[in-house]
Amino acid sequence: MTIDKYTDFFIEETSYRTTLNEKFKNRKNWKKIDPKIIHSVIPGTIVDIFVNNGQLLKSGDPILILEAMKMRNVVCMPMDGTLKSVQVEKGQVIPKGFVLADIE
Amino acid sequence: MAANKKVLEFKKRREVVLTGGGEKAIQKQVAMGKMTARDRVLAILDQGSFNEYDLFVEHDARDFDMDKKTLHGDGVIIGTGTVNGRPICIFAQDFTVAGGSLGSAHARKITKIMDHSLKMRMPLIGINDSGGARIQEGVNSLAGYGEIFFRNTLASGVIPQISVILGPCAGGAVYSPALTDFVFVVDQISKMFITGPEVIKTVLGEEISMEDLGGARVHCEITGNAHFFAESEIECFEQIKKLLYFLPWSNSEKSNTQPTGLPDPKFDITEIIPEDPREPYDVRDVVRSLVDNSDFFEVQELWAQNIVIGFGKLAGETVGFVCNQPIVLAGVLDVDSSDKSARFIRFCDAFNIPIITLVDLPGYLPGVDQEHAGVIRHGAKLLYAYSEATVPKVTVILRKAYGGGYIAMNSRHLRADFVFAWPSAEIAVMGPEGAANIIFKREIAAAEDPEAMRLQKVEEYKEKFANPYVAASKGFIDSVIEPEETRKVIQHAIEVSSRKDISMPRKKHGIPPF
Repeated sequence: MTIDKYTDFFIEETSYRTTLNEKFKNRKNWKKIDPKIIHSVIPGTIVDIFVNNGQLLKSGDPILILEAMKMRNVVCMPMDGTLKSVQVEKGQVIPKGFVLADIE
Repeated sequence: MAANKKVLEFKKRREVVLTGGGEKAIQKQVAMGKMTARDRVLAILDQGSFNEYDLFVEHDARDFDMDKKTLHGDGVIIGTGTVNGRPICIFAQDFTVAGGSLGSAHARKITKIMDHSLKMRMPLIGINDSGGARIQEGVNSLAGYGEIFFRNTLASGVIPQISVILGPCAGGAVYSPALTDFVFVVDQISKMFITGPEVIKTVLGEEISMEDLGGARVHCEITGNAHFFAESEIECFEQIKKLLYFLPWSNSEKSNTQPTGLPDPKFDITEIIPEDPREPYDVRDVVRSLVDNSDFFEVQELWAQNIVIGFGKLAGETVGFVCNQPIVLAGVLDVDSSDKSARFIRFCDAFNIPIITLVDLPGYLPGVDQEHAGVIRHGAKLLYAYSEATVPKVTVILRKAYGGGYIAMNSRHLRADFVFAWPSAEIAVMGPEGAANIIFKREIAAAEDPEAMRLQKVEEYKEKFANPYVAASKGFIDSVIEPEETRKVIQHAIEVSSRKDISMPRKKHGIPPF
């Protein structure tokens, strides 16, 4: 017996038997961005951290410096709030999309 | 005799220059699994047909002790020759000479042969194997690249331009191939990228090998930058010759009509396609059942496989095929497949190659990633390319042609010259299931047994609309044909279109959704 190499694939409520390509298989499911989680927008190195966990901060207060492509990027609070935790350490090299800190 | 002495001296000079970067550098090249630039040129061209120019060109750089350095041929070979007996221009960067780096003399040689190819209306083959700009020549080498890009653009759509990546091709250098019509790569040998692994590592901290970043497979399967993948240089050269067999020499010519044979009867068009529109088949077998000798030359075989593009001969004349491929993602249109087919259509249109479209698709690929990747503007390229094309355009609807996909796949409305449909064709705004659920929403919800009602309504819809006759009644399709008539009918359509002459509104150029 041969193994069926096709899978069911739905387009407009109809199932088609077909194969999936790598790009489709590797696609990332979309997630709504949580404004209370601060991600790195570029890979780089954490060179300085200015705040402590639990600190009450205002929108625009600097949290840390992420050095990337020889630029020192100040990552700031996007809103007023209490900083729950900084999730990186000084000197840490991080990729893009890495969680830097979260807000309560 | 004095003349003889001069001939001897000439021969001696030539012999020296022909050694390129010298024995040691050649050994290194060979150790990397690469052929030398000269061997590559000779392998592509017909035996004994190569005529070289600018052999004695030398650079005139002075800085950084360059005045003390002699670089034979300045690291590039240019010339003319023939392929399958037809004239062609060629250049090959010689990695054994200063890493094939591009300085102003090197660039001038390339632009000289490019100018020839455009002036004489013959294809250009460029073999890229270079470490990049010759840093010692500074801004002169940048100027050189710019001159090449400009000529690539000028010649685009006038003569076929072929790039062969047989070594590194990095930084700005990649844009010459990107501007040409077809890019050939060889596994483990070709490397193309804008910024290399080292820069990526220092700047971004990401570690990746050259092969994983910009190797032959990456560009054939992921980026779509390359069109033909080969395991070896020799296989690559065979592919180039095969491609040239299908191409006209310029935009003012038609492809070479060559005597060819009938399709191989083992590709039986009546057997390939399952009746159930949800069942898959390989559309390339349908193409093989139509073209001379069943010889279909696929382009970008490994990228965006949900659409199939390529060349075949029909009674000796080259035609381009654009076909939905039901075995991959059910043949949907998406960002990549629209890009891939739109560019191919424009190539065919530029070079007087009739386009045959085989339609069987359920629609567009749904998904956030597609929407956010710009499927609107990419999908629009396909509509643009078909609408703009003035070569003979023939469409055959094999099974499904739903919704926007029906319009996009060279429908009558985009000015297809001939649209045929098989009796199995379903031309409708969407598939029966989806349509019935919307149209009969109330009846289904109000029924005692909604599922039974739904199935009944789907059947009703299928009966009424899942056929070619509604579209035929409006003249959107010209004939319903039996599968076994397809070759004959297409061939006739191409024949009667051979004097096609339509004029478009006068404009400098359109603005396609690039």
